[in-house]
Amino acid sequence: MPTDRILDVSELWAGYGATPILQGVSMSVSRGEIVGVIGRNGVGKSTLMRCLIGLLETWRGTITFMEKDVTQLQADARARAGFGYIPQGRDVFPQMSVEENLQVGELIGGPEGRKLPELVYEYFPRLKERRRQVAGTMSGGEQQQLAIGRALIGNPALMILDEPSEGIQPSIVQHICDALKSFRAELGTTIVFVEQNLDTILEIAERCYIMEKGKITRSLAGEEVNADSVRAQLLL
Amino acid sequence: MSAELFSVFYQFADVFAFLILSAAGLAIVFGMMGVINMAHGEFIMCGAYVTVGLVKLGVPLALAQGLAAVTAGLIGVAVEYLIVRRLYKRPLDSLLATWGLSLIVTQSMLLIVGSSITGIGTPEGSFAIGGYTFSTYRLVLFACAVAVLIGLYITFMKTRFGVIARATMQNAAMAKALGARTGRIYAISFGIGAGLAGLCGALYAPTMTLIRWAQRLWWKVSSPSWSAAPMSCSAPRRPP
Repeated sequence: MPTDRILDVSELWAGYGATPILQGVSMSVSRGEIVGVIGRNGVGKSTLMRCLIGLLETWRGTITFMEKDVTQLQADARARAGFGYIPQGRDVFPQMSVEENLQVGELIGGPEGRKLPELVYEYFPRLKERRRQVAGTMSGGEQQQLAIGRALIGNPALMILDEPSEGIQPSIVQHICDALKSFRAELGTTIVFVEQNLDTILEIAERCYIMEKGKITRSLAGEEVNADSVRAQLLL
Repeated sequence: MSAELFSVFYQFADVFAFLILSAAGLAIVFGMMGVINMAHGEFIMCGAYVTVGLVKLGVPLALAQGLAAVTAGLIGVAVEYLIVRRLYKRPLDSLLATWGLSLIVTQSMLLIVGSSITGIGTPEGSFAIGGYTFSTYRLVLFACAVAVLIGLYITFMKTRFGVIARATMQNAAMAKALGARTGRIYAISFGIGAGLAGLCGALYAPTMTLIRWAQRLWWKVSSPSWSAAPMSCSAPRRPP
């Protein structure tokens, strides 16, 4: 029977070398939700994102995406299945132009992927102005817009963002938050993000999972997603 | 004066052609994958032997050269799949493995084919300017080198494969996270590198007597006039 769940993570274990970082993470996300994963530094938030996209091998547990078990799929197969990933630090292709960076997302999107360059330029007009500029020479905020546009252009069902506001000036962070909310409203994109910036979390998150020591320890929803509760999780 | 100027250009073109044709494949493999392919010379040898073999079977030279490049490229894809793929991000290990492959192939060819085979003769004839004669085929090689450069530029800058290949070269993990089949990109790139090496061997096969690498090295060291060694570029000759 079909459900509105797009992502189910069950008892996920993963780590680096012999050191476990994720120690039985379980979480679920419904279609069209914007869900934050918050917690202090070093609790495994970025590791969880890398595991979800498939850049880090899963030791145990399952990841179910659109009712299919994708645990054993490589990152490229997950991307083609509908994952979009914006990593911490952006990771744009530094020696390629803005246009070429977007082409990578567009070309890899394949025949099923909607080709959305003009839509990306609508959300991020700065990218259109700088489409011939080499990506490595752009500011952090512009690179972040490019990384989001590059993922968006493949028309992902689920967008995974790792600290989208890190090192970016507040006005651009606000613009990115508005764009993310528009993706959900206009394209139906589901968003899961890791963030430490209180304002960004409060601006876009509808639900939050709290992570501690490699596990999801509780979740916040609706009215619980407020400055006091989020700040308490980030600081304590 | 014009004959001397042309002679300078001719010698430049000759060296340019050999350097481009012999190193283009090596540069692609190293640039894309960080692998120093010590077996690159063996792919050149493969191109040369296949060309000579096919021509002796009656295949037209140009077709034989094309088939030789394709053969070397396909062998390159197989080598990437069977050996090199396991050694990415291990530059010393990949260097050692390809060196081992080089030694095995060189000695195997020595055992199977012998120490030399008859060449197929340089096509196209020659022409004279002033007091000098020049090989027309050497100019064909120069044109081929320029064509290879233009072809590589178009392949890597203007095609879907090129955009994805450059993305993979700059950040393989991110390209993979965007859906790029990086394994396939690496295999194709290694095949292109090997194919270009094969093309080099195929194009130079008519200009030399084929002798395995190890022997050629020995011959060069022991010969009093190594400039006439096989695979060396010949200078324009003054008629007697």
